[in-house]
Amino acid sequence: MTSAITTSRLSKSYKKGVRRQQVAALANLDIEVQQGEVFGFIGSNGAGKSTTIKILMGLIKPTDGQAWLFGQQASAPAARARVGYLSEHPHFYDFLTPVELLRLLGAMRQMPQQDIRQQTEKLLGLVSLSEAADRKIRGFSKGMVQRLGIAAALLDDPDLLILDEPMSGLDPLGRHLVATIIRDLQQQGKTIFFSTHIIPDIETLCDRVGILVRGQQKYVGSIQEALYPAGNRFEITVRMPEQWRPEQGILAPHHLLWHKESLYKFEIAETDISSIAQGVIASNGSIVTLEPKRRSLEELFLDLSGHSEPTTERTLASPAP
Amino acid sequence: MALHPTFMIGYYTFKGGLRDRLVQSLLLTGLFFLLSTLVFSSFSMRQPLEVAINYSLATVQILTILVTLFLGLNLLSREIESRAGYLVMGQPISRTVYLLGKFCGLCLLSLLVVSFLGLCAAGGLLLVKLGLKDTPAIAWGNFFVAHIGIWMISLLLGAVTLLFTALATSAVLPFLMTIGVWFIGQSTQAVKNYLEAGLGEQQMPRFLNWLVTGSFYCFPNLSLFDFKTYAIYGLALPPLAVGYAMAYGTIYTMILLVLATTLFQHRDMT
Repeated sequence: MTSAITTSRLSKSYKKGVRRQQVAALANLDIEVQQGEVFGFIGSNGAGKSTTIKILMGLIKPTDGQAWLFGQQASAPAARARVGYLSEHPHFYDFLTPVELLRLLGAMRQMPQQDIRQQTEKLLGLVSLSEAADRKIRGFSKGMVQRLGIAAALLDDPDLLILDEPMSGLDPLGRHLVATIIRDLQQQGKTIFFSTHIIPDIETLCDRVGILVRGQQKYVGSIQEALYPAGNRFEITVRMPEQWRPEQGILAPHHLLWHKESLYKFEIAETDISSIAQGVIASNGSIVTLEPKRRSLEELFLDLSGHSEPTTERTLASPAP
Repeated sequence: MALHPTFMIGYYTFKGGLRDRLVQSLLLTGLFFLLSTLVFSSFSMRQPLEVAINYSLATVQILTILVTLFLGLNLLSREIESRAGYLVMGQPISRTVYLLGKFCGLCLLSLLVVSFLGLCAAGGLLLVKLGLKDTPAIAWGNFFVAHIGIWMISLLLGAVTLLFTALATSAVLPFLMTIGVWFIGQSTQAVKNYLEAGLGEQQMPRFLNWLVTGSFYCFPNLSLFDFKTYAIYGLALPPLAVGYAMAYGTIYTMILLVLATTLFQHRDMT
């Protein structure tokens, strides 16, 4: 099966300033997004996420390398026939109403009038904009514009959705709505490629991630591999009696990650689980959680960006997650 | 039946233009100026109707061109700056379709502006004529052709704006450059006539002579579309001159659009 998105050594540089100095916005990006996959693209501001998306959408041309959408050159208009796109901070013709806007976009895609009407009604309902269907976009809030952008991207029931910061400008309800839409689309077998710097979105929604740091591809792979690196380490949270001290007993040699009141969290090896469980019970304590040690995507991102702090300092200083 | 995307873009560009407050303000200003024809024509003791026609046509021309310039500025530059264009360019259409759609919208809007102002001007002239005795008949055919000439100028300048927008990354530059082309285009014929009469060679250095001749062939000759004199004095319109002007305007505009679309294909939307 053809990949939904393929890039090969994709690079983009700009000439900036009076001296026309070359600034590399993106360098040698190689990614392959399979059909039906949710792929998250992480990077700080200026990392090259939007540049990549603009190249995929044919808005800018790469300096080097190539990009394909479903096997077609990304620069060809026909390649966008199966793609729905939401730009970062979308801006629409504000003299139109959502209904008029979707009618225009439907016409661009040569959709039958009947389909445009049905989809408009369905999608405006989906993004909770039915009541504003005939209001001018000029009076919309940022969140409403963002939700309208999502409806616009979904108009032609595309096989691939390319979303640039889809959660940007949304309140918690809006973010929940978008996350639900993404999950539903994933269940329908759609491919979703989205960029964000809101890491929890990536952790909960994506199958694979790509991390860009200053235009360089630093990681592309499974979210599981990224968050649960090999090492058989676990994190155990226990509730202990008031008089108990972590320096005592079986947990003493293990690394204390944090504690709050009677709750303690330690990092332990898989081989120690059984003996620690017995020791906790023997000390009149109880096990609250036991889970594989999980590196947060934020930690991974910071490590790759070269901005990481020593793990112990951060975890000990932080309150309960 | 669904319209071709070019016409859909044109239709919505037209709609956006109609709702543009600047365009609405210019139309209202035009209405005010055209009503003032009644006052200004009375300043002339001998040729009040001729003055009224001249004043009306000049007003229609300036306002139509201003609408074209401001709208042309909004068409691409502002749309790229505000990222509103990404929405349409992210669809499976070529940039040629996008650009031509924009131009279609501009054509429609400037046609509406010329027609609206032309009708107002005609109304004003009728009122002037009613208040005068023993005045010659207004050459309405010539008056109509003069408006077609104005429309052609606005289309040509609209295409010039699109060409410069396809080249420049800022919005101001295409605006200023189009104004420059407008001024040069109005005077190239007069300067060339001056040179051909042999008057210029005595005073102008040779390279300046070449420069003027080169400019004449590079810049659009907008004086070709000026049929005001025929409308003012009711002179017989030479069909060949009208046909030549229309053909020249159409071909020149098409060349500009081909250049603009070619350049726009390669432009980064940053």
